[in-house]
Amino acid sequence: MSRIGEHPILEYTKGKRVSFTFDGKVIQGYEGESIASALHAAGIRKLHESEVKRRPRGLFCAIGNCSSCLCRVDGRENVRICIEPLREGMRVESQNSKAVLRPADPAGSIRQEETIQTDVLVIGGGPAGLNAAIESASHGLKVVMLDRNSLLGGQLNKQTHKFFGSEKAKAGTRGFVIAQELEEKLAGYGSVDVQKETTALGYFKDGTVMAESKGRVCSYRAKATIIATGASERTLIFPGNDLPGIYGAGAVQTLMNIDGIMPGQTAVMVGGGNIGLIVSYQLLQAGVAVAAVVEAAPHFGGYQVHANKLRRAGVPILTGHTVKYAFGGDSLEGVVITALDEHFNPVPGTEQTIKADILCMAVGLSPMTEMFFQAGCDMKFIPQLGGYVPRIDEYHRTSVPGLYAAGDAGGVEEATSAQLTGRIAALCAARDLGAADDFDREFADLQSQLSELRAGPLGQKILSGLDRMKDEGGVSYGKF
Amino acid sequence: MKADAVVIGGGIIGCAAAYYLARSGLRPALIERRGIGEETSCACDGFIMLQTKKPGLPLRMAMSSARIYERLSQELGYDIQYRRPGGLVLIETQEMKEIMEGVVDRQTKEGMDVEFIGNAKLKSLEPLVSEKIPAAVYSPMDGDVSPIYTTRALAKRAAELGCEICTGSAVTGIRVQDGEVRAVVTDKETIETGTVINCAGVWAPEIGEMMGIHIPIRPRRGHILVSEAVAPALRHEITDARYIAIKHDPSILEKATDPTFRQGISLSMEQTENGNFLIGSAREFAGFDTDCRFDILKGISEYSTRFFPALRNVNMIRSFVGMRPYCEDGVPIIGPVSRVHGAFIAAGHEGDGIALAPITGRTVAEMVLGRETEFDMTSFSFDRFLK
Ligand SMILES: Cc1cc2nc3c(=O)[nH]c(=O)nc-3n(C[C@H](O)[C@H](O)[C@H](O)COP(=O)(O)OP(=O)(O)OC[C@H]3O[C@@H](n4cnc5c(N)ncnc54)[C@H](O)[C@@H]3O)c2cc1C
Ligand SMILES: Cc1cc2nc3c(=O)[nH]c(=O)nc-3n(C[C@H](O)[C@H](O)[C@H](O)COP(=O)(O)OP(=O)(O)OC[C@H]3O[C@@H](n4cnc5c(N)ncnc54)[C@H](O)[C@@H]3O)c2cc1C
Ligand code: FES
Repeated sequence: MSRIGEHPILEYTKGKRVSFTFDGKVIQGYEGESIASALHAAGIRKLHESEVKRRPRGLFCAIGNCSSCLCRVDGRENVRICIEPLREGMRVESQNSKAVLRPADPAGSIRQEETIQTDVLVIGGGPAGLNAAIESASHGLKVVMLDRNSLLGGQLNKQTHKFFGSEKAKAGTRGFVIAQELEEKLAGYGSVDVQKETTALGYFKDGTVMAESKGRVCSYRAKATIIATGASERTLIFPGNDLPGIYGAGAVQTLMNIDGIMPGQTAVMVGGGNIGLIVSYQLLQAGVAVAAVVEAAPHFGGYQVHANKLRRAGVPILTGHTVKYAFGGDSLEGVVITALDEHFNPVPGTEQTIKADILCMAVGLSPMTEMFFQAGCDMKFIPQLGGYVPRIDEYHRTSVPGLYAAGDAGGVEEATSAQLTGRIAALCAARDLGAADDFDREFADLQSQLSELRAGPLGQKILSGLDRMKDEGGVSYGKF
Repeated sequence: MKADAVVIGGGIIGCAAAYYLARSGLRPALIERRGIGEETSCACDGFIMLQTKKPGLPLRMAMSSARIYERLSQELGYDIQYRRPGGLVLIETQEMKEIMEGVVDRQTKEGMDVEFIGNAKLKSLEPLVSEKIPAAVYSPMDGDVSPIYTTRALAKRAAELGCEICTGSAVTGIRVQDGEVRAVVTDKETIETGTVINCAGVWAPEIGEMMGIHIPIRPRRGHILVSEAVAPALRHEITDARYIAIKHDPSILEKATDPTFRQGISLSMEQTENGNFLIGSAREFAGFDTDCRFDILKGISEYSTRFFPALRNVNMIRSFVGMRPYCEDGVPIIGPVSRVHGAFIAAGHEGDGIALAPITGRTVAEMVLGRETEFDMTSFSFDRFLK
């Protein structure tokens, strides 16, 4: 594994070179990149061993969702090193057993900080959250935005391709550029307080949101709270699915597109939706061989243009196939795939072994709904929207007064619609707070952009999901 | 359907009653509106602590229950994680020391093995305790168990012995004729029976209404913080003197000046087999509201770190609340309803339901069968409220 030298579209801006240690060994990396990325660049994929069965553990999600990367950092246990920025002299150790509790000074006490009051609290700084914060600020409201990452933009940062969709919502611009533009725009409003490396942990009935920020507990109370925590990547169940080298597509994108690191030499992609196809192409751009795209369904779900690019590059797209098992020692060495019959049962005798050091999972996303559940929102199971989602009305209000949903957290869609729903939720919150003067016009404009976007082929699924939500007493949408 | 007896409620008390009835050769049915052990019996700690029991019948029953627990895993054929590491009641102030002197005195008279220890001995037993805690009461008799495993294992064994377990069905009525129980009506069916045992915890009053009786039980809410799992660090079951003071006398909160005291917060702490700390708790009357409150969680964090400063170095990963079934005079109701022949109540165990479950189950089974019980149960009888 190594750093990507030349990339057809990306230039990597790096912090200064720093050294740190991993289990005593001195390693070089760049300040500000995640510890996990720096280790990866140094060829270290096994981060620790599982406690009971002693299985190797590595990076999986690279966005702080899965806890597969826990290490001890400067004596601190259970640090998710995929979102922990690297600093000079850090001592990183693999954590192969449970943390040992360190004694503390009996004279000390817990710092109890005052609850911060604001008009609007936005949780999550992906495309939905950034747009929600900008929209709220544009109505003169005081905004606090939290993101657990040190980098704003959420999944957008990883996306190096140009976007499809509505012009007004930045079609034709590359994902990470959109993130930068949004952050700059946000910085232009004096009334926005952005808290990075701050994870929201709970929503209490009185409206208080508790969060953790660099080891401290803090709390916020807002007149309106917009949850835009995005979605987490799913994985599949098969023997060996925990080997280092098996990543969510988002993690592969983070390594390649944000940190400029080759995730490996040869990849197998699981999932033939747009994410699977796009990330496969990005792997090729980064100089990684893609042995195959494996898709269980008889047809792949992504756009034809993306599939064509892969085919031209000689990548086989194997529909009607799945992974049977993965093998390897400390990290992935290969996978065995099998053909499936029309009932999705493996066809005996069709197994093929593919040597690969990357298995990339692009098998869908599940909304991050913990906060909604915990707040007591009425939740609905709607497969078209990714699973459990909060019931919302057309103004993106959940069943809990003052709590709004935006972006993938409210139903998995894509980045352009996340931007629009972020703005809609914030606009409606502003109206509910009496701060939206020209509500009707702006609301109609945003709705029409959203309808236009959903008129495309992939919008059908979302529309049928929203129909179901409507049947369940939620959103009503339509022509405005 | 017909049953020899119908147990209402699949919490730890109902499951224990069903188990002892089935073991005695009856064919009972257990009706639970949700799943087994999904209410208070899975939203609690698992202390089998003798030191926190009121001297008198509660303590004597707890001691008997603890003896049953010693062999319960074997009896049920399932490891319910019973252990007896001993317990500590930590004492922070002189005022609390005085309260504990009275308690210890009475406990010793009941035959309990308890002793006062100073900070040096305390630190040798529990190295993470703060140097600032001057004293504690230690008893080697205190233990703990997994409440969830226990509840489910009791139900499983009861089923194996012939008990019909009906989950997902709610009792909606009880048919009484000529002062006798005739049937239990659920949202799915009517079960003919001459015996019904109300083990519905905080909902026991609703079942009582179905027979026209008023049962003075209400929820007394408790919060618990759950930490990430860490290597074994805590050896004993921990509470503090304030826990005992508040539990035994709710009115003490009104006089308190310390803000955490006024919130009803005291210390309870254990480390589970997996390594998570369960840190509590608070005692409040808040109706059926099961939402955690931020100020209480803050209060628990602040209060527990006074005793264990090292807790400042551990991440909390969850919190939950449970509703203790609190009976007006602080002790449970275990016994027949004299006005309705064939009706029994086993409910209102407040913060002691796990510890008292086996003895409660055995006692009601003995009562149903008309056998002599181990203890004179007059002070827990329902009739005490009829005077
Ligand atoms: C691999 C991959 C490829 C994709 N490719 C495309 C594509 O080509 N085109 C397209 O349109 N869409 C694509 N998408 C989908 C698109 O990226 C998402 O739909 C979009 O980013 C959703 O935006 P969001 O703001 O709702 O969530 P996210 O972008 O996921 O942002 C959520 C943010 O919330 C933060 N967060 C989460 N929980 C907390 C918490 N408790 N406290 C504080 N912060 C929190 C996260 O750190 C993150 O920054 C892709 C997604 C993935 C995973
Ligand atoms: C925070 C906390 C900590 C605690 N710690 C301890 C401890 O360490 N040690 C200890 O001994 N005790 C402890 N307790 C107390 C203990 O948890 C309770 O006393 C015990 O669980 C009560 O059991 P139960 O079976 O009476 O009630 P439950 O477990 O609530 O069972 C009652 C059941 O009845 C069912 N039900 C209600 N109405 C109907 C109906 N109409 N039809 C059918 N079913 C119905 C309910 O669904 C429920 O499952 C604690 C409690 C709390 C809240
Ligand atoms: S939390 Fe770090 S890889 Fe998922």
